[in-house]
Amino acid sequence: MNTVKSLASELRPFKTTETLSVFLAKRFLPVLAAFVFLSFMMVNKKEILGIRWGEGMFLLKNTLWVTVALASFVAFYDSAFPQKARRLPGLVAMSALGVLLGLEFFQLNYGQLPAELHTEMDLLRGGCGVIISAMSIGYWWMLKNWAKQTAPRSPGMTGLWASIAASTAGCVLMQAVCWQEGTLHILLWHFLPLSLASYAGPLLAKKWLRW
Amino acid sequence: MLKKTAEIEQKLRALFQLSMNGDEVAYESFLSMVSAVVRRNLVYLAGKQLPGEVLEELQQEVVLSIHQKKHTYSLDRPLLPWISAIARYRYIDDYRQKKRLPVIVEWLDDTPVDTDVGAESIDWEELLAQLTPQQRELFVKIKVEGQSYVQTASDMAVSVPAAKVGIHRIMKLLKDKVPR
Repeated sequence: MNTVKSLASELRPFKTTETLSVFLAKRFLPVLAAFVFLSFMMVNKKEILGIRWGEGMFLLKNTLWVTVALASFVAFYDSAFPQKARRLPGLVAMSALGVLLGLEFFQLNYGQLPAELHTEMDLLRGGCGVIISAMSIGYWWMLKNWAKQTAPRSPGMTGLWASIAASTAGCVLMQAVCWQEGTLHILLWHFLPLSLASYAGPLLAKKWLRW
Repeated sequence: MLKKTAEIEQKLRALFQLSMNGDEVAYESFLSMVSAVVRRNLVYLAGKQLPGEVLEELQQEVVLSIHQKKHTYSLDRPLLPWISAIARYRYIDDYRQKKRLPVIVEWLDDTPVDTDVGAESIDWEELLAQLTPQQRELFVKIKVEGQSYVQTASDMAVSVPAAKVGIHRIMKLLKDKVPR
């Protein structure tokens, strides 16, 4: 009873945390808008490779990346609150990611794999991985700081969704601006940072998001 | 039973909304009701295996968590599942923490084992003398006597977060002073 009384005396007027739409508008849509704008700026250069916005596969892959990013953002938001337990966003994110991965493996030229691998081991080509990693670290840190104010039921899961959301945002950007269209390049330098972030994110979140 | 749950939910929501505007009396009633709900939740989670004082301490921890994370409740959703989710999280966290505590090894032979290597070289009196009287009291109560943060904060008339911050600072200070 004593505790209740002393806690009540600490009360100040307060507001509940931002809603999903406010969260997306403040923390996701501006980033996405900036990336789409960048993509438009790069279209001319991409045309050299014969890639256009209207091309079916390019559009499909971009749409899937945006879907993964958006769904994982929603899953991240949900996981940061004790009573929100929607499964759909996570399911959508994982399915879209699975389709993307499946598409890349389907398009992979297995006969030329050793030669392509040799070409991909280049510092310039690996730049995509560095940019995605740098972006995901920065964005993850921002999301982690936001999640510290909330009450995640499972800090590890929140960290995982933050990693996927942050790295996918980087992948959305690189998918649109990257000049290398080889499937091995995408698997190696776009998916690998995402996988590494998905491994490291939960481990760090378990330490930093405990409350 | 369902009717009673709905009544509690309605009452709690009304009190919560008043508390959002800074109504201390409403908030006190809210926390008192929450305390009872939390206790029921913990008994349901742990069965009857938790000793009274452990249950009491856990209940206070959950109420404290609810106080600290009150802004994470969405007004468009039911309140009781939110309380249960926090109680469940705290209960599991507490269980894991206790599981992480070092296990006392019973040696199979009678060889005396020096488990206190280096401890004799630390002059605890001298170390504690470097703390202020309030810091010393806080340290002894929590780290030596094993008293809970909530109880210590209440005894020393400070807030629980202040007690936690105090211990954090003392530990940092002592860590720097201990000879390596």
